[in-house]
Amino acid sequence: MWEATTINPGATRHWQVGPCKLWVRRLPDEWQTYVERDPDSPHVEVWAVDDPGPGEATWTRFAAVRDDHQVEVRPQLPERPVIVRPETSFLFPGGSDLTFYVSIPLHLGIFTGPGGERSLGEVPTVILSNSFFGEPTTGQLGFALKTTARRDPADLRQQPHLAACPVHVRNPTGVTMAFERLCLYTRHLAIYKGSNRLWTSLAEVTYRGPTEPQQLKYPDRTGPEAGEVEPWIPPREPAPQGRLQRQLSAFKSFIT
Amino acid sequence: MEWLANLVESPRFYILLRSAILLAIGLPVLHLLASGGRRLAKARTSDQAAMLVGKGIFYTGVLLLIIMIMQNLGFKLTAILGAAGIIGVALSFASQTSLSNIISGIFLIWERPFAVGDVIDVNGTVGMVLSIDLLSVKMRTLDNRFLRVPNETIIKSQVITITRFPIRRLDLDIGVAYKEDVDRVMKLLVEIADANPYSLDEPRPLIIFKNFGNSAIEIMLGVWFSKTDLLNLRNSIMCEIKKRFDAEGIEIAFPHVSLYTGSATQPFPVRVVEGNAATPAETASESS
Repeated sequence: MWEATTINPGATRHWQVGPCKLWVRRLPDEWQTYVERDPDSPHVEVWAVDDPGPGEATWTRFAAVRDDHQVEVRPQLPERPVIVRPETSFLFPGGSDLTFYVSIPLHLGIFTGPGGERSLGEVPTVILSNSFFGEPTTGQLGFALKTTARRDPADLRQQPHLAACPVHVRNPTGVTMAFERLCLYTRHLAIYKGSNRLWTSLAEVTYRGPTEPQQLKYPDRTGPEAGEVEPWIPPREPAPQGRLQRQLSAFKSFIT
Repeated sequence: MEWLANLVESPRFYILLRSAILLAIGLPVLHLLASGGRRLAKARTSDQAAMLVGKGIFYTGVLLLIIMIMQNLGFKLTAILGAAGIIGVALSFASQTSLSNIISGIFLIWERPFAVGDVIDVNGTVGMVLSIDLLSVKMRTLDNRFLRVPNETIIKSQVITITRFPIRRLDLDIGVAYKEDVDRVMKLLVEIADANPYSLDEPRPLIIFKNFGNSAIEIMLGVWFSKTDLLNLRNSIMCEIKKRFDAEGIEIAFPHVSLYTGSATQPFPVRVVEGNAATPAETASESS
């Protein structure tokens, strides 16, 4: 599905991943790209078809290496964290552990050259609103997800531009934790190919009490509910092991 | 060759040689020490503090080196130090402003109210900090002019570091006509803010019924945004408010004056005078 494809000079290739339509055109000395979004067709999945694209549009132009005709489109997770709410705010009693599932809209990375060594940038399949997590003086900018975190992965929308992210939360303390918002550092997550959807690696968070930082881990695997998966896109940045986030516990929310 | 032998045998030659060796070894060592101190300080503090540490090490070292060389050359240091004291007092009187700026600069570097690259507002002038030096802060104003502000002025003034925190709030004052439904207007404003991609969904937009103004109901919409998105947000949200208000038939009020004759419900009385009323031209000719 996501294999590299050859575009000869003068030809234009079209991809559609959910609501995001992408055209890549090869001219003798340049690459051109154009992106459009159609929120009414979130399920559409069109791969590498010949299509001249919109004629009047303003294309983004890139200088090209003369013999380079190969293009590869790869899914990527947003570089900024995504911030998501559960369906309803609820309390997490001490001694419990739960897994949530979050749908993360993908970006499309456009690469050329042998092995996709040259990047023509990346385009988000969905334009997300900005959001902020934490105190106004020290918090973290991120993207707000329009969907909510779910307890059952079957409740997540299964669309080609979304990847399912399992988040495992443990509360080994005797203290009840309130859960209102969740901040996911997507740059530490990898992408896996599942049988019928894309998955990200698992995010694990351990609550350590209201005044203690939470412990965060990003193991090199996804959740068991994903079934047979194939590791595909590595994280943008390896996660620091046993990362602690102190500032967010006061906000009755947690960050992974 | 005899002159060379005389020179080598002369005690003054050894004094000069020792001084030259001191200078030749001392200056590179001082450069190394200053550079090491600067690197160490840069890893732990700011660029400005590192620069200060480097210069401090170098100039203190140079002073010590000069004292050692002068002592080696046979100068009496007590007399020189006495003269230096007198010269120092005279210089300090003459360079009060510079000294004040230097001390203010040290405080600025120590306190770190802003850093290079921050956008600050000093006495109403907004610009990006290019450098923080011992005597002054150099800035580039938003219309691309170079501005030098003496450190003493910065220390004495109220300085706002606009880009200190990751997010800011844009407050927009919006006036709507008195006939409008205030609840509907407020709901629309929040919808517009929520739909704008530059407006943060958290913290939530702030909406305040500010005042019953002279010509309008005054409402404040406070929208949070990432500190780099000010212009994008301001332009887009202002256009969206105008378009949406036009589409919804909400009147944006403009300053106006209503005349009343003592009662808001009564029409303004107009009396038509019949008969031989003089025209303005006749009145003018009579008076002349």
